[in-house]
Amino acid sequence: MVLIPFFLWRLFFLALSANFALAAFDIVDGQFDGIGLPPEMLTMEAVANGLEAFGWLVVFALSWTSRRSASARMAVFLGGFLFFDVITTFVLPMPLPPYFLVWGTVLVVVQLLGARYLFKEDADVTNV
Amino acid sequence: MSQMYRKRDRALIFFFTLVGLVFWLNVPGLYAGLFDDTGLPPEVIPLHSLANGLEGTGWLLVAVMTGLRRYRAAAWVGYFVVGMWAWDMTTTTYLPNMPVPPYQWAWGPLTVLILLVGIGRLWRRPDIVV
Repeated sequence: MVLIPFFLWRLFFLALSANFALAAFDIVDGQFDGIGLPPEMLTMEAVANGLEAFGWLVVFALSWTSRRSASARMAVFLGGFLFFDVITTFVLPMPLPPYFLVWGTVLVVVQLLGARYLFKEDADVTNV
Repeated sequence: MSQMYRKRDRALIFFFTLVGLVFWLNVPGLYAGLFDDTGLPPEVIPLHSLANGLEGTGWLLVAVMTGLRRYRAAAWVGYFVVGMWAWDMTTTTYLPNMPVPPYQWAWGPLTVLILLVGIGRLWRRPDIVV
């Protein structure tokens, strides 16, 4: 039973990475061109989403190693990364499901719970 | 030992308070129109103001928790707010007419690194319960 959260959280980190990578490609593809952000910013939004995808991939990778504390801290960092995106863009007409502020914030909270899980796993391992 | 930590604490408290104040300075700045010529859509200006206020409050919280010797808790808050700043810094790097020093592509990531070093110090400090 212990293995279920173990794998679910890791699957979640991987899914986040894929999701942000897709978002980066969508932005490059021009799907966000009409939302009102200046082009200089849209380019960097793609870069930021790419960094976010890479970050979650690192969290996923480190979660299998003894550096879980580092991956937990990185997950919190990435939670803040997404949170700034959510609270500063949710009013724009973006091609995203509605209520971005609500589900975006919930997603940040779940990310923080994932970080908490990783940290506890680390404590369990190091306290043996 | 604890005396030695106290001295270093004061430096960190000063540093994080200063950072919190710098972020808070952007709140009136955004309302005063300092960022109006950057191309940011007008409807997101108040949202950036809110985000900067949250960040400033977060950094002040880090300073207070450092003073209370809750180093780990302070570090968790710090990692979250430095993530917020990293997003802001990255996405606004090449916006024109930003009322900030030039070469944001250089000093932006540098500030993230410096803040991470500061938080790392908190993270490695043992909690001393008084």
